[in-house]
Amino acid sequence: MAPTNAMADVLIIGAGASGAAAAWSLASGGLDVVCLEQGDWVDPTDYPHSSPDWELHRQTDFAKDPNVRQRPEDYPLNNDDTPIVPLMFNAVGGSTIHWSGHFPRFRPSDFRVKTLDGVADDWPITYWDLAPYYEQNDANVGVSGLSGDPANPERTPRQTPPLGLDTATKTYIRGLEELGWHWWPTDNAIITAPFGEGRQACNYCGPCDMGCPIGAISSAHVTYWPAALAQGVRLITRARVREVTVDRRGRASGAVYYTADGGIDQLHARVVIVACNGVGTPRLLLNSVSSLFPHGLANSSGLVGTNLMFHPVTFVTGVFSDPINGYVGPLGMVLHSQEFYETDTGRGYVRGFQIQMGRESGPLSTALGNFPGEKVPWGADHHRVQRELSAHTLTAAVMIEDLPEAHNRVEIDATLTDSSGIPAPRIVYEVSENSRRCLDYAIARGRDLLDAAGATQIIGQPITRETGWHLMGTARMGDDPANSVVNGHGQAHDVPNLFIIDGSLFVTSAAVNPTSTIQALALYVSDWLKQNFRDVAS
Amino acid sequence: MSEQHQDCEILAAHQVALLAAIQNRLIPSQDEMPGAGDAGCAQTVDRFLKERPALRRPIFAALNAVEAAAGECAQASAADEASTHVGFLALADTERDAVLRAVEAAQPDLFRTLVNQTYSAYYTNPAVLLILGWNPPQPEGHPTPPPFDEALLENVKQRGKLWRDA
Repeated sequence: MAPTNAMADVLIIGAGASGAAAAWSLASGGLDVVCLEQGDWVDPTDYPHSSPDWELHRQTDFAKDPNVRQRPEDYPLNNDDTPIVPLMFNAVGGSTIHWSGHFPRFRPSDFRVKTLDGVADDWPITYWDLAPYYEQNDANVGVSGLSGDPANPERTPRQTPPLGLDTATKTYIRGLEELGWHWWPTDNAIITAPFGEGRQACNYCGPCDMGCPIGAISSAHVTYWPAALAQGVRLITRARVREVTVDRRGRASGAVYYTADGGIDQLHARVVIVACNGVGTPRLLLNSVSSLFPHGLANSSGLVGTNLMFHPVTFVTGVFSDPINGYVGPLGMVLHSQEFYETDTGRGYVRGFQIQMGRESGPLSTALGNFPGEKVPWGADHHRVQRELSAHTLTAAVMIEDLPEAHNRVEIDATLTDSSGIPAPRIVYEVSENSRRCLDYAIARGRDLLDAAGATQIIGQPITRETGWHLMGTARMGDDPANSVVNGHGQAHDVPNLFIIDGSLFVTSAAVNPTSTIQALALYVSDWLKQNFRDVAS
Repeated sequence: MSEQHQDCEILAAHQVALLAAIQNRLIPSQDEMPGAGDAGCAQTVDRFLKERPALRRPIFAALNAVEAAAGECAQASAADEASTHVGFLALADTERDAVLRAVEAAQPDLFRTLVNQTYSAYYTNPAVLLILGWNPPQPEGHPTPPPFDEALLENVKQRGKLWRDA
């Protein structure tokens, strides 16, 4: 194994969903790859799922908000100017350790919103460019689901069968069929049968959002990383990158980073790939200031950090008189409806949304109102209400497409830093009027669904603050260097040996979870890089 | 309840007693369910305060607010204007509830912290979870449900293609 200070072919910064996929792909092509990750491996014994106080960990060391979690590897965010806060996990595997595993794909129309609907911009690539990489990614990580969804282009049989037909699923189907809406078993990055090495099929334990101790969720640390390491990729953990360095020609030359013991080190590489998510990537680029790039690396357009997109999400909870036992099975989506996915201007907004049929969690979650949205009251009625809600609710999430707007952005905070002294991000974001109209319509449809499913009480929530799971758009693709940061191959317009492969690339956000598309893009970019490495690296 | 007799490291003895009394009104005993204070939740919150120092200020402030409101409540209801200070512990249950409602209305953020931490302590208490029939999610998980039945999708399939070419 080469020493860490040797010149690598490729340096990848970030070992999450996209960095892991790229590491595997590039190493498979014979390239010498090194990856720097500010977090560490999650020790399997750290998962709280076997402890009586497992739900407490949602508020502490496994909280989704890094400002709450405050692990040493987390960086703080200034969220004073945003109604939605970014959520992420910093470790080998990144936020795929801390997710629900939803794995839908974008539709063809999602890449052509300007042409079809006259808003935002088209992508420089199409669904069909990515289709083979979606397939490759699914085969690599393992997906449960069912091919044949008429709301999406055909795909090959899923690696494992869809999640089972439990009471929650049957209850949703009753409502969906009564309304005559589209619905389909969701593609989930959760294996329901043996797949891969050292992984067990889902045993329906429930809280996927705090990691999966049996490896059923296709997190990058159990899918791509073992294969990438076997290919010779060098992964350095607890390595927090301060800046991407450049040479006199303005080409990326490597990175300076803080080591686990607080020291400082430098790595050199012929090609640098940034894979730090839609907040971490613009933060790093904006912090990588030099005489050649005084406004941040790859930022001649001034667009690095702008056009931040989340997916505004709200929850609608139905209370049922009969037990649903919604705590059984993966916390996230069992079914989805794309009945309202495409634009219908008669509804008062452009673009659309997806309804995700979710479940319920444990008794503390119920008491705190995490899904019902209303805390169980204290006092004489407490036990009665807790009994009525616990195991008797289902919560549907409505997730809408967020359109890019330049004023929604990640910037560098004037004073806030992480524990290494690296300037931290500040998030400036507001929900657009189009999004608010879409949310209102979507919440009403969520109510329709739960009513048709037989709910005796329906509780809707306003827009929910802790829902910034999807971080997109802050270093977007495009053919025009004045209107984008990277080209259609993820290659920075300003720095030809610098690539970006995470959600920052997204031109638009679609209305589905992004990880499947992020990993397909990482494989797509990596494939192009492998084919053109000599030209790019010279 | 195992934690009931553990020493507290952050809260003083009088604060533990006050917090437990408050908690017994937030989650009172009923049928087989213990009150939160009786279940040892004050001691559990003390552990939270040790592990998360940021909680100390709001919890201390909430306890002070309850005690202050209790004093006002007692003074208002006292026939003898010269009566000495009376705290929350000296009040009847109905008076305690009135005090807590007054604090909730006047200082909702502080009160919310008090409630959240009490709920967090109660619903992660092994004895409470045993009564409720909750086991940790792993290692057993839950029984696998029957396989999905593709025949249920017949109506959806009959609608045909639902996506736009692009």
